Amino acid sequence: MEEYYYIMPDNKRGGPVLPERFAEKGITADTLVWKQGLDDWTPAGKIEELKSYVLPSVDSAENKYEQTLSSKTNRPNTMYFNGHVLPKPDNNMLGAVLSTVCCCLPLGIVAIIKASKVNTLYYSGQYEEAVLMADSARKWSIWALVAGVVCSIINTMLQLFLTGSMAASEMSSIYGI
Amino acid sequence: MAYSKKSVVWNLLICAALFGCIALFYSVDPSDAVWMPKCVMKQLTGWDCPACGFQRSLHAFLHGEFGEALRYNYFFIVSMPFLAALAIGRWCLRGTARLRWAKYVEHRYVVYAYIAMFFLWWWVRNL
Ligand SMILES: [Zn+2]
Repeated sequence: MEEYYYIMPDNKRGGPVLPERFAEKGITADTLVWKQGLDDWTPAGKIEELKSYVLPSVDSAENKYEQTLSSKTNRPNTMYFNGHVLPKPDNNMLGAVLSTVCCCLPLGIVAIIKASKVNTLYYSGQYEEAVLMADSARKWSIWALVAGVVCSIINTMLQLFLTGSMAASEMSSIYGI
Repeated sequence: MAYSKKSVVWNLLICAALFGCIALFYSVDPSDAVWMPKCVMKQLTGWDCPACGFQRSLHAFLHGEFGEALRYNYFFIVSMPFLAALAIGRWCLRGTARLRWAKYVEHRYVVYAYIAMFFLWWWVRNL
């Protein structure tokens, strides 16, 4: 299957993305999509090959999600929509935890809490909320990494510039690394 | 399973960054390199932040000096296994196995415990 571009209701463009990942991106039947060869942007629900991949349009979102019960099958409960598996959105927990070891301070902790909430939302059947939370978690962990790594680098450059050449051992005992 | 071109490029970039970091921290001793990143928090307040010393720990760890690695940052013993477990889930597992792994590794008690230890370690190391 080919990759599609899409326009979200807030006019944000995205893609190209494979239809398998539509649900993860929050693409509904009403979302406009386009690929090479199509004349115009078209609601995803109107394209035959995409019907099984899109989320229901916002006003018909109720009652179509099903979940397997983890207590009975002893397996992770997976969410389905019209029989099609909705993958758990990537919560980027690895990036969030990584940022906490980069002198980023509590920013990384916010990212971890949000990443954890993605799981809670997904397993309680709130798929759209989980997708939005995953987006937010990703942003926080990126900002935490930038805040930690980039600020440390800028700080170091600035100190080198201000102090000239401080002895290495002196510098590292003053500033944590 | 199909992979999009974008995700392949991303994964290659991440791999390159990972090996770049390992090579960097293996070959450079952060204690001797003035240009290695220094913590802003430590400089402004004088307090060690929970991550301070992690670069030196990593250097020691990559050289097999585990005791030394711990001494620079005791939190290393919590964060490294957690990071390794998350990395396994992210890159080595797929499908149901990945979800099942995440159910344990990203269990909310594990996450809360990590956060609690983070702040506890921050407090303890500055006593
Ligand atoms: Zn620090």
